[in-house]
Amino acid sequence: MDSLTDATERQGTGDELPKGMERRLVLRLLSYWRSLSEDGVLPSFAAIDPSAMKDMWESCFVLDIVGHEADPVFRTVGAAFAEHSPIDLVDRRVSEARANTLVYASVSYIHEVICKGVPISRGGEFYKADGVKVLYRSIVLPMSDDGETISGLLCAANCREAIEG
Amino acid sequence: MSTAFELQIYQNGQWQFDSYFDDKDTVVSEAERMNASGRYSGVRVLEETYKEGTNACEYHVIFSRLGKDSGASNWRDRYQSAGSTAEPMDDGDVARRLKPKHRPQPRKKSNPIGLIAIASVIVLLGIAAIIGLRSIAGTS
Repeated sequence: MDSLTDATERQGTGDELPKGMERRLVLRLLSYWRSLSEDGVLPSFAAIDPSAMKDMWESCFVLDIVGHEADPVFRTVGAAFAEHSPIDLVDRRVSEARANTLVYASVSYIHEVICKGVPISRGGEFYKADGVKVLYRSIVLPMSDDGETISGLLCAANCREAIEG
Repeated sequence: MSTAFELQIYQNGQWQFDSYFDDKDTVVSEAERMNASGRYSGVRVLEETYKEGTNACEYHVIFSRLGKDSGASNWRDRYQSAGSTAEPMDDGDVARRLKPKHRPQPRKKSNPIGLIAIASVIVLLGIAAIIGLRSIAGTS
């Protein structure tokens, strides 16, 4: 897989971040998730404050699992995904995400997260409908209302188009 | 062949799975950040290599930091594998790779019977010497 972490962050958010701050979106979100997780207890969505993570929230989406274990439902989708998705995904099921999009790539391993109950980060590449190669990195974080049972997933991803010479 | 990375933390006397990554730089950065935070007793990263041909997984520790307050007093505690795993884990492979080159050898314990026998011989020789000297003194 091509390495995309540094280049991706520089293109997306690097200019706005304070000096010395972790550039990689997945690690910043993981750090925020850990700050909400006390003694290994899964954090709840109630603890999330979008205003405290302005630099990340637009690159996040939330999946509701309760009652939709086999096919979770999008509850919130960050603005950054709009340009990568031809349809509004809010209140739609994961299976409705269009192939060869950033969201589609990011939800490809959500059942692994539900099964293992721990954060998973993956990256890779896909080709958009116009044939352009896109490099992406994503993370899926388990969330819980009672601290144990996974009730939803907090996901984030970013990408950049690969320049093929 | 596919490679993944497991980040583990040391809690309650054992290594526990914390998160999974597919990028080495990212997972090592996260492990270093977690270790520097001082919030965790220990942090380590396992590189998991799955070989389709043999259908086997190999695990190698590529990062390991264990604090003094971890309670792990010996190498077995320090390098014990995680308690549960969704995939098969070749513990032997990890153990072989982590086996210390210079394991301390147990001290040989002294044999108390031997010590008593030696002491008895010395005492008997002393008594014999005294008797001998007295008899010599008596004859002269």
